[in-house]
Amino acid sequence: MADSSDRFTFQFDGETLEARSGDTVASALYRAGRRIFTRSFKYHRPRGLLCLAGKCPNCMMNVDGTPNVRACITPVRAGMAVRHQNAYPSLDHDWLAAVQRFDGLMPVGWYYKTMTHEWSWHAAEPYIRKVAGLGIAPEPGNGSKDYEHAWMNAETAVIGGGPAGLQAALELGQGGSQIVLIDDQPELGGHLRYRKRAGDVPAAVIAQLRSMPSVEIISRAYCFGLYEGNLLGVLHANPHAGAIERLIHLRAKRVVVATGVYEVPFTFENNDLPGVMLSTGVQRLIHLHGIKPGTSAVIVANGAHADEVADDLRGAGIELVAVLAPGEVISATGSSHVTGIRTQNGEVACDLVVMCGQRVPDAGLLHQAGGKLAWSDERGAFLPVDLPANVKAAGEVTGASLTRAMSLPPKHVPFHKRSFVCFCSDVSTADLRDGISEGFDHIETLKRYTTLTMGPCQGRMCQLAGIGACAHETGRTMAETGVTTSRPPNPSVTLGALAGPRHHPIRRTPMHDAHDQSGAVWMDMGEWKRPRYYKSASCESERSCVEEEYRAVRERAGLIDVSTLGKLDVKGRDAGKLLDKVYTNRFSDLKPGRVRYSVLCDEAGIMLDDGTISRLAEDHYFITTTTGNLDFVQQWLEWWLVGTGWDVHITNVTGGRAAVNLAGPQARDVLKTLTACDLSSKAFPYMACREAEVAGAPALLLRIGFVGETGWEIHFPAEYGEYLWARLLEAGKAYDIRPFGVEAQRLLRLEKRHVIVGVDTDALSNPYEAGMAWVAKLDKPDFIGRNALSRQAEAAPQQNLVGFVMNDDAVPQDGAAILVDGALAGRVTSARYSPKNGKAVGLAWVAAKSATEGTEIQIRVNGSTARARIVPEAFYDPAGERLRM
Amino acid sequence: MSFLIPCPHCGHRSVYEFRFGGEVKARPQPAAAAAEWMEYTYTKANEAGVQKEWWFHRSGCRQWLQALRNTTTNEVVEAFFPE
Amino acid sequence: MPAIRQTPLFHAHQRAGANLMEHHGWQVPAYFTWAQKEAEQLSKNAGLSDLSWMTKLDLKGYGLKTPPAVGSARDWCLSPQHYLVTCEPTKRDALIANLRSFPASRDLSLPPPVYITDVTSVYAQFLLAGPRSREILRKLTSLNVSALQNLDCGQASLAHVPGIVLRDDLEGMPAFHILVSREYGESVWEAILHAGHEFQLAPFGLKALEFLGGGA
Repeated sequence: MADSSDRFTFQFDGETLEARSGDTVASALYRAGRRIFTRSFKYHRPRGLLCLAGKCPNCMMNVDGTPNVRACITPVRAGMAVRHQNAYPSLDHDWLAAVQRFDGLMPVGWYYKTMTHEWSWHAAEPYIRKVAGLGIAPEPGNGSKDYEHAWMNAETAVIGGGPAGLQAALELGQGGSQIVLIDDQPELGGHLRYRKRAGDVPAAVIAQLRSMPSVEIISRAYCFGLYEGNLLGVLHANPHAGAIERLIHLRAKRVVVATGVYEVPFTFENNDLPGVMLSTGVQRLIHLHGIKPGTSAVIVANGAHADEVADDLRGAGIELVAVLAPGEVISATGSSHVTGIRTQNGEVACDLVVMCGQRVPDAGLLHQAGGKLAWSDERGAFLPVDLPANVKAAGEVTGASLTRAMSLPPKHVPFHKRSFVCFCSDVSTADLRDGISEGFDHIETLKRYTTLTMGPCQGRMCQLAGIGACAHETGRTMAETGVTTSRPPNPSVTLGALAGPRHHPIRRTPMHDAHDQSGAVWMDMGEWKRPRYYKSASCESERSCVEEEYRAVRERAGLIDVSTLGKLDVKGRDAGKLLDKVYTNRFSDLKPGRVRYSVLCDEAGIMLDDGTISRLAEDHYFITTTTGNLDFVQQWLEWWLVGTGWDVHITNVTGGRAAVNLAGPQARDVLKTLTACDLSSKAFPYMACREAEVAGAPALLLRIGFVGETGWEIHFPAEYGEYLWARLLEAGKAYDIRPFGVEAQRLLRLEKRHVIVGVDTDALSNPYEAGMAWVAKLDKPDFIGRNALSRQAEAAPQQNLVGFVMNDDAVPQDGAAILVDGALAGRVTSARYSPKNGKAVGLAWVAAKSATEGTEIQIRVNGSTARARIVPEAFYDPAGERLRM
Repeated sequence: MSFLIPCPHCGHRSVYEFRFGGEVKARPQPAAAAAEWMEYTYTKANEAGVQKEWWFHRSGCRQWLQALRNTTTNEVVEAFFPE
Repeated sequence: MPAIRQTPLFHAHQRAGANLMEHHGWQVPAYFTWAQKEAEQLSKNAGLSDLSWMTKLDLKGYGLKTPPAVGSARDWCLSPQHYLVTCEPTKRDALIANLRSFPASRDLSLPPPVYITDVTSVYAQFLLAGPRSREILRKLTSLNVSALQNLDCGQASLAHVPGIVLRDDLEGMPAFHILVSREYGESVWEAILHAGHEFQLAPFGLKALEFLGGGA
């Protein structure tokens, strides 16, 4: 019972209304006099409270910006802003209600019948979207509240906090099982809370459960799916002040489904009028909220529950005008609210029609779990049978205590355009009859044609009546007609809850904040943040900044953060053996202190990754992988190691090592001020590595040259990242050193014609066609991909990766099409304006017959065709002299 | 798809924690016939029933394991680290 | 040796107004507000601290068919014949020497039984402690944290990144060391604080840890 001493206000459509603690949004609005809660999906008919249990679509509203919130199960809070949906200008006066006058133009399946051309749909769609539908999705990024996820485990999950669920939880809990109990209501007790004749809420059991440490109770949470391996999707509304909803991934060894039954409406003309309610809805208003839902009532019932409801009505001071059998009712009368019931014997005036409808087991979860639903004539319901192991049904959901409230299939179906079966999308008995007569007489095809059971209530209100109508019309039995399949999510789930919190992992290098202070313009590389280029006072555009960085590297010295490279530490006596097996190049004969480049191929000879491998000691190698392929390469190496018994141990040290590339003709001068290591080409040649201290920090220096200049890749402990970055820039000041970003690096390497695996190559690229034949050592007796590569080495290539120079100023985009003699002959993989050449240069895959030196190709640039020429060697320092200086 | 795989090190874990590595197949000898290599590289048995598969426990112990999985029910009969 | 060793949270701590102090050459927060308050908050609800400076060693090899002898350090089994050892920085060198001291009778034709890689820099290490820490963790990871006993370790995705959770209770309170690859440090730190907001989770510094008499 709502506590009348505690009152507060909330907003509805801008109006301030009073609510009491314990109220739901719906009960507060009802008490304030609201009777129309929604306008129907298609015809904009007024709809009022029906089930009050979150099972029907009749009270969906926008609450604090979230659309389609079921007002009847949402507790109202002080200051809450509630708005109506799908009506203009208001719920009580909806101009779009005029639509229902034209319902004759909207027969069942009218999309299929009227939108016979693509253009007609495109023309009509914007209007249909405005007129029909539910709430409007909120703008992204609005609102301070979050959706969140949580993970839980249970020995037993009990779904439903009614008497059966409570009893099951108690018994299992006493037996020592760890239990999570899920209930969708604000308080435990199920139907005992509002059906006074059924007994009292077992307060002692609830108290006992609450005192048991092995039992966790989650109220205001519903289970929307029971998936493989007993994974339960649970949606917990308003778990705390900072979250709208929490999606719980609940994994249970055993599930007890005690979801009980729900009541469904009868079908008669105008059965959707506000004031026509289910008996359990009326009982909820009376007993949970202390609301008198009318003054004079008619009960429609087939015996069952009529006495019980009559008692409740009288107790609430409501005059009982008549008790009618469903077959006696012709229609409800009234326009925006029920004013009476018309029968063969005339009209009875009333302002409340109470339907004691058929009770239906809420067995959707059991159906999803793999159980079957079998028709029982005796119970008048589809009952769950053949449940999988570790899933049990308890209480009324089993149907054990059900009685039939009507004959099924019905002897008579009131086929009428205003006799609604599906309240979600305005499907009437007449629509079903028409659908069946058009040939959709199987329950599953009828569902898809009419959209029956496909709305927000997911068939809860309409499934039984729909099957009944189908059975009646086709002359089949209920069992022969069968049920439609229950699939999760049921009930519906907000997309925000599925998406979860707005947290996306970000990988930051140890020098992240230093880059930020230097004006870095960031780019995303997977989860990594990398400086694309640095804004400086001396350059205006990206292109001029990149060119300044480029010139620093080519003419003086540049420094780039390459900490994102994957780094693997490989130890063990058989490390060389593993590398020989997995990489195409040979590593067992690499001398300690030397570095070698290689690619990694699969068994089909396709290049998967590339990188350098340094030998630090006899039994110690250091691998770098491309930024995005670290996990893959580590797993690939581990995979080929399984079962060999070799002494190899791979450790991912990516996060632990900061790495920079110091490059340029004056790189040596910069570095030698910080290290005692002899950097001369004689002592430290190209493709060598040394361990030495740099500015006091332990470092690994690799003399390699991705950008084509003398340079060192320096790896050092991540905690010194900013320190060493600053020391290197400081030491380079005398040489006007510049930090450079990914754009300049890409340009520099492109001039050197260095391939980026995964950018210039794809899932069809082998080393031969990519012009890297030297990297495959076919004289090794075996390695991954050798068999395929040995055949590719001899086969005529289909295509070749070639370099090209543009003839004019055009700069093609990566991916641009290549034409030879007007026919498509390939595509560009990378192209940049090259300051060295004064024109754009690039790499491209070109059909083998055209991939010869000097061939003129055409490239599509900005919708026109530009000419280019294929060149065989690097655009910059083809002999590689600068690398060895 | 939300079945559990009994990782021999970490215990029962959701399949989402694992990377699928394909069917377990024997790699041919280097000198084997081209047809045998072709079969190994490109074809799959795709058994309707229990088959032996590679799985990598990406979000757990980061080990490759083999599992006997019924492809029609997703029941994992057994999972083990290969010797 | 350079003076400043930065944890991945160095700048985040500065932005949060932490008072930094030197600890084994690392710059770490001494306190964010004041130590006693942080310790109380931690005992009442939950606290989060950056322990990235703690020594972490990765051990692999056939000599690990049984757990390694690590004295007062902690050893955590990550996979067969693979352990992570955590200890105070002062104990590192002695521990490594001890682990490398193979019996004289060892057959030198065999490889060394244990390979050691120092992974201190590889992982960001956070300590999440306090009575509400389990509830916070279950918003971040699918790992069954309730089943994790003291001195157990678990590996699972945490805040959408690969994580290692080591339970090492603090003065009778549940306490979890969370390890993620260093580059994710700031991102995961933020995610933990966000998840813990409803439980009044607050960061705490080294002084609060000393106050509680644990670690450091």
